[in-house]
Formats: sequence, C-alpha cells, structure tokens
Amino acid sequence: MATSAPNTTPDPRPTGDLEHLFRQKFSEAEVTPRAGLWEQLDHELLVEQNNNYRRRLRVHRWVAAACLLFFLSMGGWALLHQWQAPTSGLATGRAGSGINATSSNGNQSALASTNTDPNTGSASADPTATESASLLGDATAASSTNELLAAENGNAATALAPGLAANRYGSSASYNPNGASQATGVGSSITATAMNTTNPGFGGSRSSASGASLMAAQFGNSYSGTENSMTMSGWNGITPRFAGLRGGWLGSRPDTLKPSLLAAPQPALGMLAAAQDETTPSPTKKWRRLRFGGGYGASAYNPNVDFSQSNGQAFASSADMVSTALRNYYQEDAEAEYRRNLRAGVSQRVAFKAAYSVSKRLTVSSGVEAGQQTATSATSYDFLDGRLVSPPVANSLSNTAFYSARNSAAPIYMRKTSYRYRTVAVPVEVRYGSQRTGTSLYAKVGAAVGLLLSTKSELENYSAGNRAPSTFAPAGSPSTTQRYSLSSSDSPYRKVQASVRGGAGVRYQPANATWNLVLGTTTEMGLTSLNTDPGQRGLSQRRPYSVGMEASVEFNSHKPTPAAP
Amino acid sequence: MRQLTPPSQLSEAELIDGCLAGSRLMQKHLYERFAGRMMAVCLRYAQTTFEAEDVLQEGFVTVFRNLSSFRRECPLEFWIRRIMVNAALRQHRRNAPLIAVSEGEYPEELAGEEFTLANYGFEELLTMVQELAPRYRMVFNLFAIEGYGHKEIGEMLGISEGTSKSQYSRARAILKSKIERLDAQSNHGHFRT
Repeated sequence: MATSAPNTTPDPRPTGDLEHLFRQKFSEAEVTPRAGLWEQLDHELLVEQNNNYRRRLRVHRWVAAACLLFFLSMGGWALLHQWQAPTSGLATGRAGSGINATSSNGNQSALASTNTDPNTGSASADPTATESASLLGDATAASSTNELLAAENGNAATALAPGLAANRYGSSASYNPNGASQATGVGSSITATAMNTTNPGFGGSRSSASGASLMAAQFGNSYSGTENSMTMSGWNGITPRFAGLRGGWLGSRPDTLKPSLLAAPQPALGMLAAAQDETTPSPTKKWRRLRFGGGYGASAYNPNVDFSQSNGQAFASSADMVSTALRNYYQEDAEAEYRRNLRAGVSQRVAFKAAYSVSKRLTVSSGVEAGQQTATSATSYDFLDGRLVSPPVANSLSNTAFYSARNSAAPIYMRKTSYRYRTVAVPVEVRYGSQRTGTSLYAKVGAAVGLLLSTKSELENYSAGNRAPSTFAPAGSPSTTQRYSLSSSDSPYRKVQASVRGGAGVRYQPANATWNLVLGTTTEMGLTSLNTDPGQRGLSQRRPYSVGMEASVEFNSHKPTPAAP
Repeated sequence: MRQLTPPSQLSEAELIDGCLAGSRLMQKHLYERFAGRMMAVCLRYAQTTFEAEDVLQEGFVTVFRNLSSFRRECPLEFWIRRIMVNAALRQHRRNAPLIAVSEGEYPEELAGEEFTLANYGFEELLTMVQELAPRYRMVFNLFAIEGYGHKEIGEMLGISEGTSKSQYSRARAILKSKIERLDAQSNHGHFRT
C-alpha cells in the first residue's frame, strides 16, 4: 500500500476547525491497493458470472422440460386421437381414391387371397390367387383397405384387370428389376406376385395382397395365416404407423437386440461386479434416504360426470307406462341440465407419505391419502346421481320446471344439488428437484389408485307454494339425500378410481434442519370416469379433474455435512 | 489497424459502456481509475488494511453488478463512493453488531478551535480515525467527511438521531485530544532539536 499526496490543490484556508481539517485531508486522498487485489476481484467476478450462468441454465432447463412435457403430451394426445379415429372411415376415405384409380382402369378390381410363409416371413401369393381372382364391378371396402395399406407402403393403387395385369406387370418388372418399390395395385400386385412364383427375377417383391403381409415383410416378422381379412381391425390400422415410427424415428432395431451382439459371449458376472466396485462409491446407509411426512392439498374439483345415455333402460320396469315414457323422454334434458349447471367444488386431501431418494434429484414417494371432494349442480327435473328421483308427471304438472321450461310463461325453479365424494387412495409419485438446503424448485408426476368410499348427494328442498322470483328455488333443508357406500351395489359411481397427477413448486429446507417444507401446485386428471357406466367410449368419456395447491412437510431429511476446508 | 485508446484517456461513458458490454479489460480500467480513491475511503471506515480491501472488493463487485442501473446523472465517482460507503456499513454490521448505547450528553457548540492544515499528514489523521471505536468511526466519517445529517446517519446505522450526535461528539473529543497530543509531541521534539 502506498499513499500519495493527500491534497495537491492549494487550499485558500490554511487553518480550519477539526471537520475542515479531516475533510480536506481525506477528500482527495488516494491509496494504491496491493497489486493482487484485481486478480482476486477478477476471480470473484468470474465466479459470479458462472453463478449467473448456472441460474439462467437452471431456468432454461425448467422451461425446456416444461416445453418437452407439453409437446410430448400434445403429441401423445394427437397420436391417440388419430388412433381413436374409426378405421372404417379411413378405409372409406381411401376407398374413394381406390375407386377412382380403378375407374381409370375400367372399374375393375381384383380380389385375391394370399398365404404368408411363416418361416421366411415373406409374403408370397398363392398361385391359385390368379385363378381365384374375381372381377368385381366396384371396389369393395376390403380391397380398398388393402389398397390403403399398399399405398401407405409406397405403392400406388392401380388396380388392373387380371387380363391386363400380366402385360402391365411385365412392363413394371422391366422398369425395376428389383420390384421392391414399384407401383402396383392390389389386384395387380397379387397377380404379379402370383407370377413371381414363376419368375425368379422378381423375387423379394414387397407388394402383397394384404396390409398385414406388407407389414410383416417390412418388419421382418412372420404373420401366419391368410391375411386378406375383409374386416379390418383397429390394430391393423395402427400397425402401419408403428412401422413408420420404427423405420423413421426409432431405427430399424436397437443395437442391443441385434443378433450379432446377442450371440457374442457375455462377460462373467464376477468381472462386471468387480468393475462396478471400482467405479461406484461404497453404498451409504439406504435407510437414511427414507423420509416420512404428511401433506395437505386443496383443489378445485370437477367430477365432470356425463350421465347421458347411461341408463335409459332404468325406468323400463316401471309399472306406470306414462311415467316411464316421460322419464325416458326427459332424461336427456335432465342430464344436459345437470352438466350445464355443474360447478366445481372444493377437494381436500390429507396424505401420509414415505419418500425415498433414488438419486441426488429423484425422489420416489408413496403412502396413503384420504380425500373429500365436493361439487354442486342445479336441476329442474329432480335429477340426482343420474336419475330422476321423483315422478316427472307429478312434477311437471304441479310445480317443477321442465314442464314450464317449455312454457316460458312460468318461471323455472332450479333446485340445488350438492355432491360429496370421500375417497382413499394410494399415490405413487416421482419428484425431480434438488435436495439441498435452502430453496429449490421441483416438479413431480405420479399416479394414484383409490377407492370411492362413500358418496352423498343432496337435493335441496323448496316450498312449492311460495315461488321465488329468481330462477333458483329458496334454500331449505335437503328433501332428498342419496348415499352410496363401498358395498352399495346400485351405486352409479365407479368404486375404483385411477388418476394421474403432476405438479411443481418450491421446496425449502433450512440449514442444519432435518425437515423440509414443500409447497406447490398440483393437477390431477382421472383416468377413469366417475360414473360406472359412461355412455361414451374411450377418450370421449368425461373424467374428473382438479387443480389446486398442496403443502407437505417431510422429516428425516439428510442433514448436510459441513464441507471439508 | 485499430488504434487503442490509452486507459487514462477513456471517458467515463466509454468505460461504462465497455463494462456493460462485458469487457473485462474495461472493468480493469475502471477499477484502476477509481481503486486508489476508493481504497482511501475504505480505509477510513475499516480498522485494518485487510478489512478495507475486503470492503473495496465487495464494493467493486457491487459496482460491476449494478452498473446498468447507474443513470449517469452524477459523476461516476460519487456513485462508486456511495457504494463503497454502503459496503463499509454492511461490513460494519457484520463485524460489530450495534450495541444499544445511551444517548448521553453532547455539547451543542462543537466548533471554535483552529488547526493549521499543513501541520498534519494524511497517514497520521487516518491512524487516528482507525483507532476510534467502530461506532464512533462510522458516525464521524458519515457526518464529518461524507456530510450526512444525524437523522440520516441514525437511519443508516439503526440508531437514534440523539445517539448519533452523542457518538459524534465523543469521537470528535477523542480526535481533538489526539491532535493536541500530536501537537504537543511535535512541539516537544521541535524544542529538543
């Protein structure tokens, strides 16, 4: 440290008080710091720059993970949606082009049956196929389906009359001696393959009579039996998509499954164990990775039940035929009204869980949780739990609304219905996030399987003679209460529920503490519908969902050991 | 070929722009331009040179981190000086937690004496300030050198205005006695020679 002249400027005042003295001497003083200080500062700036970079990287990683999850979800949904589309529609759609193609060739299509050689996996046409090929006036759905599959494998649909097929095929073979990707139609391909048995120069043709045989040829697998099915199942429609995935995205076959590698001699287990011992540190006490805790979650819950077309026959046994007819007539309106007025309620969940740290960032947890979900709706049909609880004739003619709904002069009286579901479930969750002390972010996914222990549905009463001006009836004591338990056989609700859930939030663990606090959002989507007999199929079914917040505390967290100096 | 401007001829704006662009060279130039004056500031607030260097380092990290928020409405040196003072205050809070001190009594009239400036050097005065108790040193520096009022000082240090005045009065009395002792020593030496 070297001091310089403190004050080089001439001071007009040679004397002064104590403050003036110190101010004058200190104001422009300069002291050169030691030489290595800039290097220290430079190092500190570099460390801070790296920390900023890491912080940004962490944010980018979370954003990237969220985007990936989103696109995977959307992609999966789109893929499932495509699968869900009826295959017959596809076949019909493609049939049009098949017919057009056929019409250009004289409105004739050949339909033949082929046999697949289960040993070689190559599809070869039955020599009798040419003989059995019959001329059809129009393209049938089956032939169109085959054309669809042929077209998806790069073959153009050009149906030819058998008489022309030989000539046309002969010219095709001359264009492409391998014949692997030559455009031929179903009828012509059958004929061509049939001729292939007599013409060795066309061996290995991928044109075959059925889509399944085509796929078998592409996969290298063997499909036994006759594959020319007139009705195409759903999987036949899906499998070409898998073929595309395997060929395009996933590659033909993983290296680990290649026969050459499978046939190679494997190292002895002892050698593997020794190598593992060299690379992996000694195992820590695994019980220390185990944590226990409890949590509470509150969400907005929508049961999202769709009772439509579920039990239209439920009233067929009624003795009163008029009432039965009315019930069935108004059932759909009541169901639509129920869904229209369905409002989400509060879902509360208490859980006791055990968590196990699989790695530094992955934690698997499971336990048991009890929950209660509520929802409300309103009805003018006395509609409760998917059923009309009171005779519609009496209601309609006296004071209920579905009669007056069609005669708008009278006000509509809506009765509030409230629903309460109590469940117990076993969740399994995988959480990704730091487990160090301090504050960190986490994301988790999981699933739960639970039992619907009990349900309680209430239809609120109102005074029939005292009509309120509002559309909602005055509140009163419940007039009708329906309860279903786990043992109820007539419950309209499914007793075993499955759901997937996810969430993200913040985890906080104080320094030198063995507990941590987790606070975050949670989203749950049912895999099964809440009602036991949904009228819809597959993905069209309505499933319950909830969105909310949850907090939990875990004990026996790993206490951080002080870093070595 | 591009001709490099000598660091001493770089304007403040060029230095700031270079630092904001992430140039480590410009950061070094800025450091070299202000390090000497800021070290003198830090020494006044610190008890030792090591402590002053810590404050200086922390202050410059803060300067480079927050340079984008500098609005260029005042000279850069004032802004950096203020950051250094704040860094010194943080260091003071970490090292010496404030102890509740009774306000005591303080004289209303502080001025009156006259000192000849040429008789005292920077290092002598710096040593006197550094020998003060931390709380006295802080209040003296903030009031006498930086020009803050007692109310502001009270808010900065978390003490009352009266406490600030009391501590300043005490610090001033200590410094005055030291200066008088120094005068006496120099006069005694002068007579001996």
